[in-house]
Amino acid sequence: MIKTKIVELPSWLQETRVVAPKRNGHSFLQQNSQRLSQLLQRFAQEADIRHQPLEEWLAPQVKLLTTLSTVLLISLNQNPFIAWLILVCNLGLLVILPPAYLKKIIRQTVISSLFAELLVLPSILLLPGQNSLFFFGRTCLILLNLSYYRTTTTFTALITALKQLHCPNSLIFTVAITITYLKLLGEYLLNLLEAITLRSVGKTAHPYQTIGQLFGILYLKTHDYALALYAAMEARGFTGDYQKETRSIHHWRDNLVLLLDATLFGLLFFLGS
Amino acid sequence: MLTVQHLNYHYPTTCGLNDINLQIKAGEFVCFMGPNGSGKSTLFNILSGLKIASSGDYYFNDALIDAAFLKNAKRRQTFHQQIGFVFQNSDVQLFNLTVADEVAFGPKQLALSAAEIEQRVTDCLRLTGCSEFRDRVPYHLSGGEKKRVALASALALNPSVLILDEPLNGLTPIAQQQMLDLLIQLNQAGKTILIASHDYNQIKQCASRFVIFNEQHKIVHDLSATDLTTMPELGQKLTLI
Ligand SMILES: Nc1ncnc2c1ncn2[C@@H]1O[C@H](COP(=O)(O)OP(=O)(O)OP(=O)(O)O)[C@@H](O)[C@H]1O
Ligand SMILES: [Mg+2]
Repeated sequence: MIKTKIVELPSWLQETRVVAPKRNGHSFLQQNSQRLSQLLQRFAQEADIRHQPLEEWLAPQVKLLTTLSTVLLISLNQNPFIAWLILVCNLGLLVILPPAYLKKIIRQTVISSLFAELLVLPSILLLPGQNSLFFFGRTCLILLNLSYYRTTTTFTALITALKQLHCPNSLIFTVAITITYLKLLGEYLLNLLEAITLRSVGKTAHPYQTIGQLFGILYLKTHDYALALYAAMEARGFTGDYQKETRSIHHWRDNLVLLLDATLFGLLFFLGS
Repeated sequence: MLTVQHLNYHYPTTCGLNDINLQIKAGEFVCFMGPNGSGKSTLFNILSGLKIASSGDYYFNDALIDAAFLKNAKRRQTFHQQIGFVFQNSDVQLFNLTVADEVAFGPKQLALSAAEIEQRVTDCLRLTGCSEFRDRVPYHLSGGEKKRVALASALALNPSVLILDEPLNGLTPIAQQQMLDLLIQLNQAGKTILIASHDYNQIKQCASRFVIFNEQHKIVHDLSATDLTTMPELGQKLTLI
């Protein structure tokens, strides 16, 4: 056993005394950090795919392709009939989802659509007519599709999809690092906020100063982290090349969905926009 | 002082804690041991109020600690004042521009005089051996230095319970011994100490009680130090955790 010099405990540390905070009440930082933590917690979790193997339902690249082409289709389309067809297809996809996903998607779509409506409200009021209403409908449809993709797809599936679609490695690298980072930085920020919570025993005199410091540290961390990550990847033989995964499009569902996409595009072409 | 009943915690994809029952009296020095991933850090996060159990109850001084309790600012602040927590990764625990500011962050929020605050900061830095770097930026300190600053910041609030998640990791043997000596003294002064450690031989000189987790996130042993001395084969096993 190592002998060390015994230090004297100061008297204040030897008594048990709970000191009253400077001033009671909700501190600004505390309130906001709680909200932020909730947000970050949600963010730090990947798309919720543990209930059912949703991922295997479609090949990642087909799913990405379908989402992108549907969004394109919706924005090009001026024909109510085609818009209606797309809606039917979308509803079909939604109906086979487990209820938990369904609720989440609907909530997201409704909230973001309301936001979008607020933005286009002036134009609806200024130029009344079918056009702006149709425009709003299309926006909702696009938001629905994006929300569907976001809720049912993991980051890994997105990377796989990009690989399968022959995206340049530099693009994938950027996306991959950004995504990995966002998650890790989110977790890091969450931990810092927890540390602040633990020592928030009263009103902070300068909440903005603490917030400034937080972002300063976050910046330093990002920088150090990027360098370290790249070094670690290099040390493990990363040459900037992403390996292609083997699963390719041959499932009947994949083909069916692609066929559907093509049909809709064909309709758009024949019926005119 | 701390009572935990049928506590479970589930992460989105894994189990964190499985039916934990525990009662800790004021002034105890409890060491938590168990394999990696057995749930020690998770339990500490719940005890310090950072996480809320998925099911089961946690009482601190007879008050049920749940979301409703923590929503009330005054109660939450008093609660946090009484529990000091040093994270397993103290990298994420420091957010001020100088070490002195870091330690002063808590006391500054209390109705203490400037002289009292300064006194607390100086004392805590001295006790943890951080006096030399009081004006440095915490972010650029070494891992061991950060651990000590984190302990100093927790001590500055004079908590009655200290929760330390593997505080000895990354310290030199001398610094480890200094920290243990400090903990023994704090314990003698009446502080309750909960510590997670993987070094049985070292921790057995101060802990009075051992709580052992298994891989299934359950408590398998809850023994006093004297009980443990009568079970040499278990002690032998603990040296390997
Ligand atoms: N943020 C998290 N998200 C998901 N799972 C987690 C998270 N943190 C911990 N876990 C899981 O919960 C379980 C308990 O982890 P915990 O960190 O409490 O273990 P521990 O006993 O502290 O381990 P160690 O000795 O390695 O510190 C592990 O299986 C771990 O993988
Ligand atoms: Mg741990």
